Amino acid sequence: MSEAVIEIHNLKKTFRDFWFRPVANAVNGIDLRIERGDVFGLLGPNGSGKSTTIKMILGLLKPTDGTIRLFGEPPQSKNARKRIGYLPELSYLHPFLTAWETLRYYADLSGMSAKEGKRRCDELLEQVGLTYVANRPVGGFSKGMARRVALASSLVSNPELLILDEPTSGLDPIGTREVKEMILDLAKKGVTILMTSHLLGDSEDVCTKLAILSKGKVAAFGNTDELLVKRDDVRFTVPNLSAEESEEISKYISSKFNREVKIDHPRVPLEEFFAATVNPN
Amino acid sequence: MEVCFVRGFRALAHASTMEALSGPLSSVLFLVGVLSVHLSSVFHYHQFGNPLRLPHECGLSALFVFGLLFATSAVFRTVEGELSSGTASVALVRPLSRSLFFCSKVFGVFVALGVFLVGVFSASLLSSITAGIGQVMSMKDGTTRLWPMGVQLGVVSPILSFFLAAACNRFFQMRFCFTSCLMVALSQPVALLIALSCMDMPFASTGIDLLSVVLDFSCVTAAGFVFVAIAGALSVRLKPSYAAGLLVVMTVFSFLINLFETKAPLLAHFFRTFLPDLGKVWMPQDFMTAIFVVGACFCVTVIWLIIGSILIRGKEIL
Repeated sequence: MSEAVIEIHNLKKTFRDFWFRPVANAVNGIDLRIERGDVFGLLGPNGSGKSTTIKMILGLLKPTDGTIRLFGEPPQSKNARKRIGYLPELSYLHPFLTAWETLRYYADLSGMSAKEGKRRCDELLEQVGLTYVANRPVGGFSKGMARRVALASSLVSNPELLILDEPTSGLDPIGTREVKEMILDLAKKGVTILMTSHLLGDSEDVCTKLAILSKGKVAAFGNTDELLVKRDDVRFTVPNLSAEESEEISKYISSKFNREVKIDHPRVPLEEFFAATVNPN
Repeated sequence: MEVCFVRGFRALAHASTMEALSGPLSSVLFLVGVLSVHLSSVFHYHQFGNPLRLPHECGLSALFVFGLLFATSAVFRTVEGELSSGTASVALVRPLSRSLFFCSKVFGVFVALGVFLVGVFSASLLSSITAGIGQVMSMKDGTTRLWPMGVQLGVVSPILSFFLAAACNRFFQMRFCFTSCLMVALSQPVALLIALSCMDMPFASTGIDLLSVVLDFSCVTAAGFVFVAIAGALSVRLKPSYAAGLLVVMTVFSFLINLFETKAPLLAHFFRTFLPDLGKVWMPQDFMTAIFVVGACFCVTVIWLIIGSILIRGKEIL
């Protein structure tokens, strides 16, 4: 078994009002184990407890009950937090700082040396394609550009665990594709990723493991392929088959195995078609 | 570890200072604060019987009224604003303590208030010199009330700085509000130096008691730091409107206590002039009293910083 990056046991969170009366049970006993190198998708409808769980993992909220371990340490541990990068759902940026200053600010907060911080900021701005606006205040950026700055700031400390809350929110299809490629690239380098997304297609494309939360509980958990595979159906994909050949194969399977056969052409994902149309190269 | 601590503190305080000086309200308060000191002498709002008293009182009042308005609004923006907008959550997942976050944010506002102090203190001195030289000249010719060059320098320099900041924004993409705050504040020591170099009489002959000016400004600034620390600590848990309301009640309450204790004609002066006569209410008259006031303010500031640190530690950041 690989090393556990996040271990959550019987996690519960009850929000209370001013008089300590329970208002909402956001999380009702979650158990999760996320291992090194996983791209883990935390999915669920609104109010299912995704963001609350993430904020408890980050130490921003205190659990009512249960335990959380990050790299074997509690979430408040500075050693654990040095190894984390976080991208919130909305790109919370200081509007008066430039893109470069924003990255530098987070590099300083992460305790990076001045020289290393400067090098990393330049590198990340290049990586997210914002070098040309490095000296412009982020308050004037479009939603997509601000998202890129926020993503770069989450990567500034070379995190071992990256927590992404709706990483593709506000991005156009090209930007979405680039972020997904970046996530897969980081996963190849051994970065563990925990992400939430309302766009299930995005999670399906990049996540190796999934957990679906419903009413504060884990409703489904496992490897993406295992969870999504339809074991009752079989699909053959054959290139360049004529109509007659298709008909012949269909008849053969029907007669030989007594099964109903459905023949169609596979569809290109819309995101791929869009990217090919907008940017043919 | 110490290096990380210092770097984190510096980054947070720097961002806090930038934020405090970046709002349009800050630009307006800097300009109005500095101009009010100079214009009070020009329009002669008040007769204290001593022409040097007016610029001194107006400087203190500008620091107290505009400075506190600027600093408390800035601390609400940097502490409560960050906690509610979410920028704090992104910072607090980094390896730094919440106490450090709070203290460095408040320290950043202290620095911004210090910039305002530089502007108003220099403006007050320049205005005092203008009145002092004017008084000496009036004894000779019987007509001059103010030194013309001092008035010109004092009134023109902040306005010119404002337009210069606008030009820097237009041609060099520099941040307008931040640049204008800095330029307006720094224009005053520059104007003061020019005035000092152009004076054709010794400084002593203007009749300005520099030590008294410094002591009074130190006390008002220290009081300002107390307000900033209280506002910062309150804004960790309260909405800005509630925290501001509480601060107003505290201020009025402390003024009323002063009024009853000293029997100072505060209300009468307040209505007769556009700024209160702070000197008659509670300003110290000697060095030791000033040291005591500043020391007491320092202790109260530290206590409120500790309270704020405790409050932010237990806060759940949604």
